[in-house]
Amino acid sequence: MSEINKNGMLVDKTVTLKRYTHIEHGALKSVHAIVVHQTDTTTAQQTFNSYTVGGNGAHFLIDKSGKIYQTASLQKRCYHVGRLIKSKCLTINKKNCNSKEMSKIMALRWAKRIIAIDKNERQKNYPDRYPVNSDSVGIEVVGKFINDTKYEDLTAAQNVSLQWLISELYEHFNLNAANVYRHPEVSYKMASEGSTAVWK
Amino acid sequence: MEIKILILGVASLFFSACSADTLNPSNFNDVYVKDFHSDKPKECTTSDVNLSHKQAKEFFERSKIVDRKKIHDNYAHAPCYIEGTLKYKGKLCDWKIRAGSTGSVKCGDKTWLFACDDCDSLFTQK
Repeated sequence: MSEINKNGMLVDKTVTLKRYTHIEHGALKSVHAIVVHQTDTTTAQQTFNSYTVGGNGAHFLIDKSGKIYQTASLQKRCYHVGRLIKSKCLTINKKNCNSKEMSKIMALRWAKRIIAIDKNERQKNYPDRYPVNSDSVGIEVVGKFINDTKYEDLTAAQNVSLQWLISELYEHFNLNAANVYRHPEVSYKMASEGSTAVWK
Repeated sequence: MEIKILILGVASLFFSACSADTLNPSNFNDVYVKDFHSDKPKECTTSDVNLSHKQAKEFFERSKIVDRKKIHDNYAHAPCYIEGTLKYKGKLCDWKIRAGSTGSVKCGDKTWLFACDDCDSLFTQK
């Protein structure tokens, strides 16, 4: 079993610590969920290069070989989910949708609708809404968006490492599989991102 | 002297190669909307991205050219889009404009991605 040290870093021989403080944006006060991403790069180094500059990023990165890097502290928030979250009540908890409010929102044009949905969702607490940057950990998996059509499949080694990492995070933050999401489930991204990631 | 001419020649070749790769949407001609597509027909419909030929041209003129990472990190990926053709420097190119104010132009094997922060008025208001 791994440990989380006082700096929010996961201490285990399986994890290489490679922290980029430029992708940390304030305190992460609670962790209710995990969001799985793909990098749209062919190598880990390309992602590290962008992390050096700052901006978007996630807490962990899994290389093609399955090697796990921790790139941000678990006590810090990363911009990994995106500005606008989807509606959980439209997809999973359909009974929780306020039909009157939601029918007004659904009558809006798509671009305006997703802003209104986000506003509506952020009034709820997790798990009634999808996770946001301030209550979730992000895991990036190296993988390119290919031929303008889909993200490449995760390697077997990546899926083994992903499962190990997710299991460790379950223990540390008292989570389960219901709290793990693919990025496009949570916000408006290409549907194939993380689609071949598997976990229990 | 000959070396200077050679350097200038190589430099001008280099810069002309670069400029061939930069795109100027104000030089787009014959921008025509040809079709509509939605991956989620109940969520994202024609009225969400109902631009005329003229508005489609304006979309590209108002947009900035961005890379895929910028789109992924900063813009919503809409499940529906209009598509069509345009002419650029004598070539016939394909384009797409998504309901989330992002788009693309594909000329031959080269694709440019666009994002517009000032195109709200072009999309049909509801």
